[in-house]
Amino acid sequence: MKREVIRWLLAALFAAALPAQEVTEAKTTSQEAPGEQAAVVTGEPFMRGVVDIGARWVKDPQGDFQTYRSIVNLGQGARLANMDLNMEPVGFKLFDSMRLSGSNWGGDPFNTLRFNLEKNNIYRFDGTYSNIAYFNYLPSFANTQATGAFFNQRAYDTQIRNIDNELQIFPGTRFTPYVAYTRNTDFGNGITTLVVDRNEFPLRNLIRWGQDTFRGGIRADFGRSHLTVEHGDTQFRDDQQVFSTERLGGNRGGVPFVGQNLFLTDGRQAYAVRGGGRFSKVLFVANPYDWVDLYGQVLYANPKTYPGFFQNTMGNLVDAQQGLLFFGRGFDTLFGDARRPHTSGTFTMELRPHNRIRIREMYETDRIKTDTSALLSTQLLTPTSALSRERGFIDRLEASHTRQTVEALVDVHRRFTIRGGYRYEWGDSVFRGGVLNQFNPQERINLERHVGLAGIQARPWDRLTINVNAEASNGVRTYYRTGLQDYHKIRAQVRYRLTESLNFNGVHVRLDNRNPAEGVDFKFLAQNTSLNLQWLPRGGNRVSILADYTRSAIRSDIDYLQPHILQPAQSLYVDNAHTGSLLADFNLRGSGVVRPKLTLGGSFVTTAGSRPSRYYQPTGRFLLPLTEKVHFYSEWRWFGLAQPFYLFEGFRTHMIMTGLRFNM
Amino acid sequence: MVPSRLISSRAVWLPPLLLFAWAAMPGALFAQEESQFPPGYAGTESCAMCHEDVVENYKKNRHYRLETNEKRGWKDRSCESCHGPGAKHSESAAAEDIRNPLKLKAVDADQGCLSCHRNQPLQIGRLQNGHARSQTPCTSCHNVHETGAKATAVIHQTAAGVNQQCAGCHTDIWASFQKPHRHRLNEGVMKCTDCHNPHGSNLARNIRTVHANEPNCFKCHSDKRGPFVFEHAPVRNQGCSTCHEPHGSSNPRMLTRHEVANQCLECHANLLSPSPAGVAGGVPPAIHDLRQPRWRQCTLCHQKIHGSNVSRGLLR
Repeated sequence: MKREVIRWLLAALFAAALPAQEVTEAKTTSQEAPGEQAAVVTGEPFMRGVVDIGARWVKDPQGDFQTYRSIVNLGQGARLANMDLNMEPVGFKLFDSMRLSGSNWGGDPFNTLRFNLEKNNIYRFDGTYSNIAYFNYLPSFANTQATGAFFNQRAYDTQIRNIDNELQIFPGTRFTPYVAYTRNTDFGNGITTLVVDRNEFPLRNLIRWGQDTFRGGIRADFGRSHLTVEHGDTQFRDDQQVFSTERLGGNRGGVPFVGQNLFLTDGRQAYAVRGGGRFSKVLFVANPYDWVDLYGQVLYANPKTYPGFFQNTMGNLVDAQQGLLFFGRGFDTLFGDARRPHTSGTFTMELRPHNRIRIREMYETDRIKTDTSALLSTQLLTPTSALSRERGFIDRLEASHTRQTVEALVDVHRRFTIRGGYRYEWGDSVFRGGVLNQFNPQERINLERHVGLAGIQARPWDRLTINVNAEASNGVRTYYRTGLQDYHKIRAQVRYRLTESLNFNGVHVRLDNRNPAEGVDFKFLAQNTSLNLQWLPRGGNRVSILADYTRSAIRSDIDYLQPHILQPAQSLYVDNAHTGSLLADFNLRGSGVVRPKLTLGGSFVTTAGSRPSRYYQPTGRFLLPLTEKVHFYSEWRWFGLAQPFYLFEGFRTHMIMTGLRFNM
Repeated sequence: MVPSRLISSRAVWLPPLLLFAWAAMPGALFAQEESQFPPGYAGTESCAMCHEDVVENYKKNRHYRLETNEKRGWKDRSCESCHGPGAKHSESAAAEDIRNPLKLKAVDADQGCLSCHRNQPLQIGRLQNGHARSQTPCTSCHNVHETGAKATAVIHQTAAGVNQQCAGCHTDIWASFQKPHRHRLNEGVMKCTDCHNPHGSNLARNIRTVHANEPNCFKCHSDKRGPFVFEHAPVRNQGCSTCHEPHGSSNPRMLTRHEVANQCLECHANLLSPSPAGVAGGVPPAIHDLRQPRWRQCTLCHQKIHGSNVSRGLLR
């Protein structure tokens, strides 16, 4: 299928290129208009670009192959590694420029394709396609003590595909209509759990969902103001299926329940979810006077879902809704309805009363309201009786969040700016309480936060830039135990150009968040310190080096209640990481066009703490120009993952890719 | 006396003849006439006399459209749309007589760009943007004169180009992508701007929106979008980053905790919900015996953790 697509695309490319080339040649010979002459005289090819074709060899990964696939997933064989073609035919009527780029075609788990077509002042088309394999088969995520099929519960082998297309038309400079179409799909297999009250059974899972989005709008530019109006619609469908016809003992591991062994001989679930909903947005920008900018937007979406669900189970199963009922066959049918009007609005303003002072006012609000209902019909058959019941559900969830910020930026000096401000955030959320919550069938939580903002930006001299941004909050209320409450956050960045060829960049980020409230006592600290070096002596003609190193640390400390004994326990999460990467390019000596290039580098991560791991990815690449148009390249990479607490989830492997690069 | 009929017929030809004569006269006769440009402006041709290579490159640049577009108001003097009036500089050739956006303070450089580009939907969230707060000028990411592979328009169309540019400053974020569980940026299939709008957004951290006002996460994960009959409230009122580290993590599924039980129980630990402290998340029933691994992987059973259409307990 992919080869077919490539073939068609290449055919389309050459079909489009042929007349363009003829036109170009015709212009060259006839040399008509002076303007066109100038373009032709440059003698530039009408098509430029690069195509990398090669083959990859992967040494059989040592360690756990499933983990390798979950993290790297590159296979071997012939590949179209990269393609980037740009056509700019002169005088061609249909387009002025066409660009086609893509990567990793021919069996790789990640493919991209991008297509741009443009005719100056007439239209512009942008299309992208991406295909990302989502393979996840990590036992440590499931039941680590189970064996056999249970070992890989919650596993996926799917493909998420995205298609994006947008066409803009330029009938003039004032109005720009546009239409767009986006498609997002996921298709594949997996293993998931069928839960029947006191037991869980791993079943095959066929995943199949997709969403189409259509939107169109118009942008209007009135010189000092601008308006965009857009309207769109989505269509969603989910046809997930879960099934098994094997006899399964479930997750209880053979432990009887009230003297009976629970098992499943036939289990099927079919989801038939349909949805969609319209959305609209209005964007507004104005600059009525030189000293004021106004920005505003009103956004509205109203997604809806109409779920259908059917479940059929056979075996020896238990239902505990009304006492304990062991049944041999059960049927569930559900039909529902959910809708969620979602409104957002933003209004921001920048005033410049003086050329050294800028005052910014921002008001942002976001409101969600979900209303849902469903009817679930259940039939349970035992050898002697049948039980039918119907349950209706009505739920709602509301959430609103508003932020108002005012801040001032003052240029104390041409090279020094200070910033200060205040932000007030508030919100509330209402939703149905948990299953056991007998006191509050409707829970209401609030958010309230006062945040002070500050920052400086200094450029003491042209080579040095210093940026510091800080915010500190005295939170009054937060939604959840781990939410931002009393926190301070700082981000400092220094950029220094020591010489024309040597640049340094340093970043320090720190977030310290605490919630000292009784029963919560949450302490969280995250810090990152990064250093980055870019060295390009003589403009990078011979050597160029990009290197960075990051030291990061996360420490989260909070108590929780162990559900079975309701005793407090500590949840301590620590992640101390060292991360580094290097990319060193060496242009080696040669003669004529034969000037090889060697690239060495890679990356490493070592973490200590709650889930220590070491992940190395060294790489080397060699590029040898054979002719001006054809280069040979070869690349070696090594992947190695080791996790001391999860030794069964480690792997290491070599990978070599070699091929030819065609420059056009 | 000349007949009036004859006069009128000659007069018909007079204006075109005069017009032709005016048009055909040598330009030298009009050398003293006023320039076609407003006062202070020199025109692109004057720039090209000294900066020939720059102007030649510039001709392949998107901005060069201004040079021929009468409606935009910069016809034949498009260099000066960014660099300001250049007549004085063309006479003195002194650097201080021309505006160089790279050497201006950020706000002044940006105002130059925004004078044309403010009126774009991309800029709507400009003031909430961290780049605007930290005075990062447009020229940090956009180079105006470069062409070919170095042109911003070309760099920004490739994932590797965008990622490399962002990583230049956001080194700490790029480090997260070296971790084993991450979004696929290193593979060149995703780029930073797929999720973030560097010009600003109405969501925190410049997260792009999709379907008008929803986080861009739902563009690729539209199965998590809902609405669901039974919602999991944090997904809606606090967002994906409550549980996930979207850039990269040492933990499977990019979770922020090493074990699923810790992830869930850190919130689901209140005897009353909301607790006296006002936070939500009730403790699960006592059957969840954490001594058994079966119960430590909450999503083994609560598989529809992002929201369910069938089960209030998010079981199916």
